[in-house]
Amino acid sequence: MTLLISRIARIDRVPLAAAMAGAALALLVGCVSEDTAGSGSVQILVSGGAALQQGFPLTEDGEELSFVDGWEVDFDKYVVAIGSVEFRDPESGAVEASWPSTAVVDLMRNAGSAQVVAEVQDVPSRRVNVGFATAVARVDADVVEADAADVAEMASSGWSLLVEGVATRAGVTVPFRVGLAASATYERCANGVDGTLGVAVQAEKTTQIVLNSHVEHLFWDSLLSDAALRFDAWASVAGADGVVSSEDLATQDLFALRNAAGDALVDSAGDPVIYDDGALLSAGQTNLARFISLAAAISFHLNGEGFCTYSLVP
Amino acid sequence: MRMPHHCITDHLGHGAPLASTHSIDGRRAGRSTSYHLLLTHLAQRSSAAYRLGRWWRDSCANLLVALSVAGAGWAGWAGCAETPGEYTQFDLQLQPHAGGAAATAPFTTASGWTVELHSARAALGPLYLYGAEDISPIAAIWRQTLAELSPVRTAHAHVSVDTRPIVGEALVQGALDAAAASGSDMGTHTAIAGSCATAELGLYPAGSIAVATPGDATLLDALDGAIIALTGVAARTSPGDGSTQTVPFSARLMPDDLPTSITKISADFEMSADTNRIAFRVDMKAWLDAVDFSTAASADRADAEGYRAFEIGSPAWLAFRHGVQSARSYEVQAEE
Repeated sequence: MTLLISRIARIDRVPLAAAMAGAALALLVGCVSEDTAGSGSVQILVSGGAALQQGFPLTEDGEELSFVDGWEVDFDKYVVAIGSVEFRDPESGAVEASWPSTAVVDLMRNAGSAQVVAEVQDVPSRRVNVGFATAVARVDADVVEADAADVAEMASSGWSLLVEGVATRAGVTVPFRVGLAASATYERCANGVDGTLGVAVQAEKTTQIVLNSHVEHLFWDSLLSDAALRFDAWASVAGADGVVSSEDLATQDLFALRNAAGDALVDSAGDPVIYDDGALLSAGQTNLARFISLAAAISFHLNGEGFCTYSLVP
Repeated sequence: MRMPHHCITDHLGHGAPLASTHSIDGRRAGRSTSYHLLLTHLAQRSSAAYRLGRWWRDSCANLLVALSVAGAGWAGWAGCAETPGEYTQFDLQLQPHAGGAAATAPFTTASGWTVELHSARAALGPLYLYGAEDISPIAAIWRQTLAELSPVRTAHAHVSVDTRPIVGEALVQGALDAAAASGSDMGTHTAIAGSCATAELGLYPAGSIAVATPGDATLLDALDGAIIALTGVAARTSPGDGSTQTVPFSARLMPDDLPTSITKISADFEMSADTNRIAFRVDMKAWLDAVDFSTAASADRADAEGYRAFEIGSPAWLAFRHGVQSARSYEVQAEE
């Protein structure tokens, strides 16, 4: 503004209206390349990151992710239903472009590497807010990169996530196959690459965004802070077939966690194991299945660790 | 390890949005004149400043339009003294109750226990009030940046960006005492006139920040480091044999047992430009609704007064903590 005023002061012999118009035109031309230089495309990828590829424990960026109760976990399937990607004007909130469809993708496919689910054309080449949603899987989803039987089971069970794997500790193996109703909408995502809000779409180029699922959320013991990864509460309720299912997890009361013998669940120091949902679950929903569903529903991030504003869908 | 710090709006079927969670930024709180309130004030009072900020980021093609609007806005600001956005004050009252009745009267919990509180004390505050409308994303980022640079904990010293304007804050700690039927005074505080939507309650060690009134210090000292301490007796009649189980109980929550704040507390009222009397209502029945008192410590472990403690990690303690953390246990209302 100071610069503009000084420019006007120096051209005081020119009629004021012409000066204003000239200055505005000069600034307009100077800014065109930043905001209104056409459009580009945005390629949408989904990924479960190194955790899915390597399992836990995992060292990533110098940070170790391991279970405090000594379990090791590997994954066989991690099927997510995701879509409804929107690119919005940061100021007005108007949708500039979108991919309104849904993809059901097993993130373990493609060797666990990021998978392209769609490419949106004609996105204005400017900074846009990014939003998306997880939803109950549909057998007629626009993109299906998962076993048809799994997708059908997810659809009929109302699941948006299916995770299958095996946990091991001291020679004990506990397989799990858990479907979760973990639908949520994600809005106004921060960009995990540079910490900015949304993404800057490049003109005449393809800009990639990666919707990252943080698998470790499923094993958190707190939704507030200082979360540790635990599996004891899962292993304690394995069914008669030895496999942990969603139904089994629903029997684990967060107010009275039990071990396999039915006694209070304690850690290696003899202290009670505590899961803290921060009262996000209502009193009648305080079981481990609901806790994990909530943790999973907020497990997606933009471009690594970019946080979004989440709204849970019943 | 990645930590959970998300802004969550929950619609799990309880009818009301649930609490947000934020990253814990340490149990710090401070007395300060909040620049956030000032920012909100400017944003609401001065449409010119707000539009100028948007212009800064928008296309230069909007320059002349923005300048015109800015000029009109400044002119409007100068002549508009009674619109929302004007600084005002509110008197805050901390009011305990049990399902709407006096907190000292017996009440029946959702799990069927009849409870009579013998004592109930808590250190509650600061209290932050948020408006209904989102502020612009740019303002939100600016606010977050300021908050992270701040040496004191003000309303937005969170990792998450809250995009609603702050319309009032009481940067003090009040002493809740169930025996004080009329509630306790939390002082007079600055606010901005307009619609209020939600509130956030800070939970800090008793006495770690300014007390609302000098008399509160004694009550807070009695908490002996806890944030909340209750004693009482709970009774339940078995539907089977008609026998009655009676449990004298004590329950305490320490700072490390709780998050530093409880968000999305209902606060649906208008902050007027004149005098405001605001009640911060705390429902002790909601704190205890899900507690199974039979899981308190066994009788042989009762204290000298016969109270059986909610031991850490026990079902009673977990359900009590859940009730205290729930935004549904609190409400902020304007009083006539």
